[in-house]
Amino acid sequence: MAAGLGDERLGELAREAARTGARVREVHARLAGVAGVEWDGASAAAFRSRLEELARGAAAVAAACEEAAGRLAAHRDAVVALGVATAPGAGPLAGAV
Amino acid sequence: MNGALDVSAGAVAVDPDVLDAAAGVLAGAAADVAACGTDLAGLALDPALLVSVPLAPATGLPAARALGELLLGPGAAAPLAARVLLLAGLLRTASLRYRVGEETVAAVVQVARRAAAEVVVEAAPALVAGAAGVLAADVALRTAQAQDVVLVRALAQVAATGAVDLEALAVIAAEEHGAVDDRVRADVQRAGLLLARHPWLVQEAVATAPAVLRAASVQVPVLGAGLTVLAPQVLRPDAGATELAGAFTALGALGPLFRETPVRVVPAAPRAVPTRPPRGIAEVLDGVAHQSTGFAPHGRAGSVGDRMPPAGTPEPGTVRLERVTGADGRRAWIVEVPGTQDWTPLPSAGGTPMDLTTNLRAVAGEPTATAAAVAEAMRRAGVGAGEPVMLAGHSQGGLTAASLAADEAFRARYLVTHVVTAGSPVDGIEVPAEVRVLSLEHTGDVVPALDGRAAQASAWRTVVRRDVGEDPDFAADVARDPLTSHGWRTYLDTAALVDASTDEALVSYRSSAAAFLDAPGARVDVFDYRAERS
Repeated sequence: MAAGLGDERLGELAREAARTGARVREVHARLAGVAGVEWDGASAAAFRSRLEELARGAAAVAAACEEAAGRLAAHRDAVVALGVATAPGAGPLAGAV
Repeated sequence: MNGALDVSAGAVAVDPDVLDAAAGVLAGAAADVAACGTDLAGLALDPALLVSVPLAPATGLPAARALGELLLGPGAAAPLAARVLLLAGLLRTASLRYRVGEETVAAVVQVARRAAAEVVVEAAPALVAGAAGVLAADVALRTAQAQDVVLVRALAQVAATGAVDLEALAVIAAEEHGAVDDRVRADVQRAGLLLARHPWLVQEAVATAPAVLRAASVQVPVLGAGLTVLAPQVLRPDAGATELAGAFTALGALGPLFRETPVRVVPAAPRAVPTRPPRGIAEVLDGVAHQSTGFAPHGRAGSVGDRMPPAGTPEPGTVRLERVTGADGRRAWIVEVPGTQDWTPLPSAGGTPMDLTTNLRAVAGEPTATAAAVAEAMRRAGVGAGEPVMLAGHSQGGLTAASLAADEAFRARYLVTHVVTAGSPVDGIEVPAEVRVLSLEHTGDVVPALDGRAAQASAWRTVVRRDVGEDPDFAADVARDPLTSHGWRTYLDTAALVDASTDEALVSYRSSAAAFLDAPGARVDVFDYRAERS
């Protein structure tokens, strides 16, 4: 793997996935806040039901981002352990980029 | 909107401004989730991850799968953004009802529904489980955004005048609906630009994608079930780019994405009529360039060798046949097929057949609307059974040319002797040895890599490779925009080098193609057609 595409980049991908998860968590909080709108009745109840469903969806996306971040970090560690991506120009894909 | 939320202006009052504000919060949240989805797509496509998966599959595949679920799974980011935006739309609709009453709102909803192309939104969740999930979700999101714009404008009208101007809204709706395609196309192109900087990666990614899909289908049951029903061929151990493309086109059986349509061919007004037959490959490809909607006149003369008068950009879907008659009266035909003209994943009546659907179907080895259009144009022009035919094309046009040359039924009807392709992914197409193929491929061009294979020359196929990024005339342009390597200017320049070359293979090819080229006493007649989906 050539310079710029090695284990450091994989580490950056892991951190970016984690940051994205945090952004979705923040969106989740905003969605939850909308539930407090002063509106009553059957329509409002249906609205809140759908809003809760979407908030659960946002929480699931955030959790999935965090899982992806963890798996990317583990993959980065595995690649480092193989010793194929730590030096620019080294490894089986040397020169491929 | 699907009507699940029945908002009424009954006994319970609410301040419409409160609903508007809440809708604004939801719309903002939707935009942020959509941005997260875009960023996640960038992570999933990052070269570092794709290249390293084969190195450490035990950890690489789970990482790729985790990102894949965020893009393709039922809980993916983009469809979540679309659903949040739809809920914002329901709040805006409720606000409108409180402000202007049920009847007017019903009319506004009708306008918004047309703008939103609701069928796509409704179809998207089912498609999200499939291989085209990212694209389907993007269409759904962009459609929901169009819908939201219409509702926001309706609310603005009410705030300003106390009423809704349905005629003005219809205009806005039409504009927004028309822009959905452009926005999806721009999204596709943004992703394409990333890959364009790494053409070798495209080849690797396409070649390994079926294996990744197989692994993912084991871990994500809904994906596995979907692929088993829609495109079982992609799950075979020997699956490649052909089967991968087939997985996409199979979606056409379920919804509007990649759905094949009949094609209509009509004569087109003469334009850029040549004064003589072409003198070489550059002038043949220049004829193809003149059929491209991306064509821009080059040089003072407007055409290579000053063969054609200056001409502007053609209508989409044009195909030209040049009939070359030699001094002895024998006739030969050059068929000029342009490349992709529309990146919409939603083929529609009146649209050009030279679109993304034809790309995928051609790579999958399936019949295409463009090939059908070319065959119909040849029938209308009166191409004789024993008259030599050269099929020439750029990008998708070359793919179509090679596909037709490989089609036994087509060859039984027409005497295809030569094919010229420029920047086309034709390595997976088995053209028989009796057809001589000349393929021009730039090493920095991402498109020829889309077949997932390295170009292989043979006794019947001459492959010309060139790194235009190393040429001082193009280096700066290639560095700024890697798609320059796929453009007309660079391929015409390479074709001129081919014409000037003394390489034995190229001399032999040009010599074998003499019937199509200019000679004393030869003349040319052109037959222009325009194809559109019906």
